[in-house]
Amino acid sequence: MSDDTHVMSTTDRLIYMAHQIARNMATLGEARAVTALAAHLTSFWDPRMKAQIIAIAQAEPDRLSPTVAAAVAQIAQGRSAGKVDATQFNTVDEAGHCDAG
Amino acid sequence: MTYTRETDHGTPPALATGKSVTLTIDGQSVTLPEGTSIMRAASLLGGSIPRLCATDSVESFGSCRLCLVEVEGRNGYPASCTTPVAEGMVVRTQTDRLKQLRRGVMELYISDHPLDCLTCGANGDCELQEQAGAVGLRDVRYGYDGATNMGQAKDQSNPYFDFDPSKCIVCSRCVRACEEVQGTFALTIENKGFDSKVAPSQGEDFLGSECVSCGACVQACPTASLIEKKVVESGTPDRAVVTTCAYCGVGCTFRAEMRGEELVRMVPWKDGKANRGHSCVKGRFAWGYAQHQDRILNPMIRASVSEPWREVSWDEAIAHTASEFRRIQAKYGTRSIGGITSSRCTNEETFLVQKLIRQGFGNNNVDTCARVCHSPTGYGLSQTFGTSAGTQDFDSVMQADVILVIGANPTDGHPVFASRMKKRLRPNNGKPGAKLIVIDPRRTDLVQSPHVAAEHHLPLRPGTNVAMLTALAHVVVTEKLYDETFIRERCDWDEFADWAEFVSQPARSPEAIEPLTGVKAEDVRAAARLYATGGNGAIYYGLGVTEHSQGSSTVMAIANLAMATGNVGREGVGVNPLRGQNNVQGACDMGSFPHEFSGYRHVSDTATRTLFERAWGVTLDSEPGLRIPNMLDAATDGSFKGLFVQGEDILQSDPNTHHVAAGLAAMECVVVQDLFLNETANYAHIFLPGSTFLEKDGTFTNAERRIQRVRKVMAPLNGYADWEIVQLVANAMGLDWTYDHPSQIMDEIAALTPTFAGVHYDRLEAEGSLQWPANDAAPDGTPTMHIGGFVRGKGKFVVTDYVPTDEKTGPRFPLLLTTGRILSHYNVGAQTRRTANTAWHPEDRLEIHPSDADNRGLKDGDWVTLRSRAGETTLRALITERVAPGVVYTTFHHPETQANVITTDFSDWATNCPEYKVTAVQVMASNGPSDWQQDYADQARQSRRIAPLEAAE
Repeated sequence: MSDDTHVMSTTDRLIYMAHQIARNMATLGEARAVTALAAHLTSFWDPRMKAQIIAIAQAEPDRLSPTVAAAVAQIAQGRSAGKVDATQFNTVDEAGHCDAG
Repeated sequence: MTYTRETDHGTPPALATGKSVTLTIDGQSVTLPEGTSIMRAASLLGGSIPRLCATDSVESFGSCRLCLVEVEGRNGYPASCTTPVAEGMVVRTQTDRLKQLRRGVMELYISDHPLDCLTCGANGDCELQEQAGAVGLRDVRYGYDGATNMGQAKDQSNPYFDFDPSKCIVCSRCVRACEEVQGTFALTIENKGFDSKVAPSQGEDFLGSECVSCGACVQACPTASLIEKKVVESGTPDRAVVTTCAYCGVGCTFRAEMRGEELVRMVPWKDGKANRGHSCVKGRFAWGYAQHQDRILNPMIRASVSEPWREVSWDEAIAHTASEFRRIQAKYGTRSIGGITSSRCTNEETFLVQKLIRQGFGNNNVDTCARVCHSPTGYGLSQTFGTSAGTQDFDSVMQADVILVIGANPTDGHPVFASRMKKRLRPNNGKPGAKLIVIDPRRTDLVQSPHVAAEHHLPLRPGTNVAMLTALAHVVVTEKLYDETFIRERCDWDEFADWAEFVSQPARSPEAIEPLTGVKAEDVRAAARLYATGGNGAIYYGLGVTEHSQGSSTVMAIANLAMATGNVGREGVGVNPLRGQNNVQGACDMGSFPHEFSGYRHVSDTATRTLFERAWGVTLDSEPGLRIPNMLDAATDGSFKGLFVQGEDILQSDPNTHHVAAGLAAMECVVVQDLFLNETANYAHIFLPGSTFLEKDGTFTNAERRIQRVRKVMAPLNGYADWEIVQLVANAMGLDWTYDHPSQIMDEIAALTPTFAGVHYDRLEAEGSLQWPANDAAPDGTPTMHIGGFVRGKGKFVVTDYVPTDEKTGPRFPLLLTTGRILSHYNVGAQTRRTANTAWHPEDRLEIHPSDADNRGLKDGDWVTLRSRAGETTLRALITERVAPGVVYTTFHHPETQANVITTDFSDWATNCPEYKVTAVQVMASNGPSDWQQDYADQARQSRRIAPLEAAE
């Protein structure tokens, strides 16, 4: 990013956010990071944001790293269960598990 | 109800030893814990031995000689406050000889005390007056015009209380309260004998002294020497209602002492388990905003933000709100609107706002201000421990041996808890004080203050928390200081091994990261050894941990460290987030996040969703909604058009003001419900006046998960409590809600939320408070979590890699700005700026190190321009060595400064919590407010216009 501007377009911001999450999951190793990233986006991004990143993956595939691209592909195919690694949800009437993201 | 003070037993309870003794007082036999004073014993039996220098908030002192008693078989007349009970003791509290002695003592006091009782502010609430009556004083043989003490000038410098030295009886209660309760040591007795006088600091007035205006001295004073100005002005109260403070996450409970509907004073409630009878300047004194002339009491609407406001009836405002939201949804889709719940409002109100959105709007576009403070706590602690909250109660700090404070400044942000912490840090009754480690870029007051000094202060560069915590873990692992038994029992050993291998790498050692953090490796090693081996280790942290690009990673790194050293699951240890707002814990618990229902259950979980769908009779969205920054992005993209904001000022409090303003400006309907025309209201189309915590019933949940009652003491000036307003909006949207009282809302919460299943108003009434989880498994609530095992099962070690923030210094922005708070103000200052607290902090200042100031030719007090990649503002410099070279600091309490014009869009990777704590900036000399500040002020002035009412025809 240049020194002169700090205003990201929402598209840029979305791409930035996805890569930022991926960087923080990098120590999991590629395969687990892809699953965890897909789960994270599934759990915390609203449908429009998910649709946007899928659209970006199709229109401008070069802008996504292999990890992000693979995770977005999982979401696009509806394969992410949203319950792997990154989050664990409560069952009914069970106290505790939570994920205030 | 008539007014009485809370019972004062004269001396504090004895330290528990488990032994008890039996004695006789005035013919009554009683069995009490060893170490109890005779005075307290007599009081517990229902008696009251005359006394002046004793009060149960401080240790006994034995100076007034009024509380003498006779003990069979002992010579003389021991003071009952300093004499402990003993087995078989026979005590008489009232004999002819005692009466004579007490009158003699009282005569001396009264000979040097003004007798203007009828016109004195403490008339009817004065212990000297009461004790003169109790000892039967009828005459003063020495006359009534004592030689030295009368006729002295009052010190009226403090905005909330007066000090009249003429009425002082030198009992030292104020001095001891300042030391023992508050821990500030601002007061002393100067001179000797008849010249003895109470003095703040070294011959200064109260306002100019070290005094933090907590009011503990005023509460302890037995006469009118220290007295609330409000009592002088209004007279004594005639009833008291226990309620909970609406400032910070400590959640102090107070007796609101009333006369009619006038609040006379707030006195901290001794039975309050969060504050134990103490308070700070905000809770005790800064409630004048509730009646401030700026409060908006009538609903208002306007077609565009360039028009002045038009006052309308409640009916019109509510109908307009509902029709606007429905119109927008019809045009732009179900997900085109959303709302923000308030961490300042009650659990019940918050629950209703998110219900309005999920049930009425039909989407999950609900968020809350926890987004910008402790959302990483929720994420991080749930990943590692399995629950989104602190592990301990506040009392736990008294059992800690090593206290690690990271990214928190409790003496300013959480002052009442800080006093408890300082009490533990000072040696007490022969027990050495706990050791203290402070990890903070600034030299906060805790690092060095009277009788408290940090063993280690690690002044790291902002943005390097994860590197620092990993280095601490590196020492713990490589020096084999971890608790293997604990880890094998409570955690997954393989996960630990993975993590241990990661942190052990040489690149993560204190030596390797020294150039990053700027902290000497040896200090890091010493701090790690102390935390791991010093006994009970307790971690307390604040927004200096969460408000970073790696806020969630830092929280997990803290949890890793606590698990590795076995510091979870019992008293005296734990991981304790110091939550910001009074009810931010509650707002999170109540389902204010866009991805989860109350009790932290994800919206995609079919079973949970079905539970709510059955209760609310609608189909609920299974997709997570938008978070606040996402809403603003969606608004600038044109897909998000309407927002309901209850009790939050996102324009001032959220980062990158330009981004927030652009988002708000792009919406067609912004509804603000607040006490004042806040900054966000400059972009609003509908204003619904809110009510204060004094005007409604409900509950707040504090940082220790403690649910406490808020009780209505006066009718809402605006006509409705906030929960009633939300209900009106809901019903205008066709939802058919029928709540008559907040207790019914809590019943609904309990029915739908497993952790709250046992929380009902009758239980809260009986218990005073409950800490969740409170349900069949824990009927009395849960002071300490994770005893015997973690909520998630096994504690999870999560590898946290240090990823530096993208906000970097460079030639144009060479300094790092970090932000924080000050004691006398609260967050955006909407309340405190409308009180006399401005006496202490009339403006935001930029703290800058002398060497950085020198380089720029700046003097203390100069106007400076503060510029970042996001924007610029001006404020005055404060030159201080509290900040390291290269780091500058400011508060964000004043809208004129708008520190958030400077802060950027960078945010925590997991939760989008903004990175308030790291902004690359440049600082240079300036002539005064920037163009932007002037434009902003003009826009705000324009936007706040209210059209005069048209005459009725």
